[in-house]
Amino acid sequence: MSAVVLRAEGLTRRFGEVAAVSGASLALVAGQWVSLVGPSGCGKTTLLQMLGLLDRPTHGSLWLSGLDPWQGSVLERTRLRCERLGFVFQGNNLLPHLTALENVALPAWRLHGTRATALEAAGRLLERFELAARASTPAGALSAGEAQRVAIARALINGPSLVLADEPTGSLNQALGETVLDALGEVCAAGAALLVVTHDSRVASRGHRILEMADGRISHPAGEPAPR
Amino acid sequence: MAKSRRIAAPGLLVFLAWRDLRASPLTALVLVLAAAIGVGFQVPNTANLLGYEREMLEQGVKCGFGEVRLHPRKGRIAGAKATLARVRATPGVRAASAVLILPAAIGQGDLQSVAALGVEAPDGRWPFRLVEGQPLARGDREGILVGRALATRHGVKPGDQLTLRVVLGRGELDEDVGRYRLTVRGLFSGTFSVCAADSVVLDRSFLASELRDPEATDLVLVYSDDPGGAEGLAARLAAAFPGLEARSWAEDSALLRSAIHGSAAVAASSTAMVVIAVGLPMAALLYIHSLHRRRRVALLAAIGIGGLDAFLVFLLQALFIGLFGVALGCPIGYALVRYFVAHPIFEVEQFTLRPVLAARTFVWPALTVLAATLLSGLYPAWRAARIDPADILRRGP
Repeated sequence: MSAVVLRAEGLTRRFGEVAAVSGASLALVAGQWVSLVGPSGCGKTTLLQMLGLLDRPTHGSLWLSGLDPWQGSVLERTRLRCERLGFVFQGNNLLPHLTALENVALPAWRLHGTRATALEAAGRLLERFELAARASTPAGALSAGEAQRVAIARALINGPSLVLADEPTGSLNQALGETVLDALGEVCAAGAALLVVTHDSRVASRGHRILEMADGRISHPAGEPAPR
Repeated sequence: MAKSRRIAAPGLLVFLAWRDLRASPLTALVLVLAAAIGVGFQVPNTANLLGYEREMLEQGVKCGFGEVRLHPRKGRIAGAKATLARVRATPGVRAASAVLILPAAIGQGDLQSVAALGVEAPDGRWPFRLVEGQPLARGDREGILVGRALATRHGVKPGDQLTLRVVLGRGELDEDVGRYRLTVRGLFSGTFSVCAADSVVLDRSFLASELRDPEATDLVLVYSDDPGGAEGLAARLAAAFPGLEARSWAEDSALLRSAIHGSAAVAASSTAMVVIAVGLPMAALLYIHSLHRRRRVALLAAIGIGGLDAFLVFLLQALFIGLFGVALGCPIGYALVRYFVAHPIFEVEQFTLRPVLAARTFVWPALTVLAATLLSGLYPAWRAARIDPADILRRGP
């Protein structure tokens, strides 16, 4: 049985009186693609940010590889994001003034402190995503599809246990979207858990599991109990 | 698990700071220019103020009455010859001169009251700056040095003859006692010493012999070439010569002391103005710059380059701006100093303000502007470090 990478229980995030996420529970397993679907404004992005340690839950518990990250300091959570998490956002994912190679290398450079090693690893990843020819292109000059694949490469560079993707094909046409989805498939092949937030059923159908979200609550498919 | 660093590697921080600055060339250029203008203004300002202070000390101390003056508590200095020898042998003393001061009058027909200073300078250190002619030879009984302004007033120049009447106080009613016909050997100038005003200089031994007191001395001038250490030297001399009063130049010359304090106050307020004039607009621009970078900071936070790293990146940008501003501002300042050397901003007959071109002329303004730049970068950097990435990323691209 695959290891549980992340477990969340009863996550709630309130903004004043409004609960953006209410009592969300889920478990993410290594090598598994989970799609989280739901209409705009249902709380998907807020949930993803809580799972990515960017936003603190108002209530609820979260364990990442068995650790409760909210027991630690800001620096420790930043370190966890660097070491164990990868993010792919909808667009404007990259630092436009850096090249594709440099964008991919950043997390590894931060983690290991050596530029040469980081650039070497980034180069290998760009080759894997068939972007080697675009390595020295400024991120601002990449096409939307290329930029998303570079973002996925960056998410993978430190060998994360969990990758969180927020509408990764939201700004792409169907052909480019397929390329990006194929690249995301490689995340799971690399052994990481993948949570893809989307409102596109085509994207969601790629997942091993689909969770639906509405009004800040996750509804688990019939026969799949909420994780304990 | 890889061992993680508390802050990013310096190379990464420098890389991020530098590349981000390069991405906004116009903002970076304006910021660098602001720093450069600050340095370019402050360098000649510092050079002129240092020149002003140096000229005052030169005239008032080095070519004036020395770092320390030894006065008798009453009357004249007893045993002046031995006192002068002991003073000259005191550690830290470079030179000592004996001075005898008598009321006098000079002129060609109508006489004008002056102070006649009999000076004995065995070390060649005179309390004035000779600007024309020759100094007095030891034992010269026929020569006189005249202040340049006084000489102009009386229309005399080196080589001319002049009548001098000295009040010797010998109690004699003879009309010719203390009346001399002397040759002007040279002209001197000086602004911050007694010699600056209406005074003439003669050989001390000549005047003393006329007084029939070969050792007659009213004042011993002590030169150490260290105006800053004058207080300490005065204290040592006071201990060594309990019968005399030892006063440092600062204590003895209120005008000089006030002028130097005034110069220091102008320098301090000028520095404060530069800090404000450079720091405030720079802080505003850096803050606006950091606001434009909020999404990038949030993205960096998401990939593990957190608030402390962001703080250091923005602070490094301020440092780069400061360093480039200094690099650009120093040549500008140097050119302005060269201009002011050729065209002094203050030049009267006795006093010419020549800017000081030395390392400290550049170091202090450079450090001031660097500090102003770093200070102005602190708040924007702190704000960048406190960005809530969730809030920024939630708003979308």
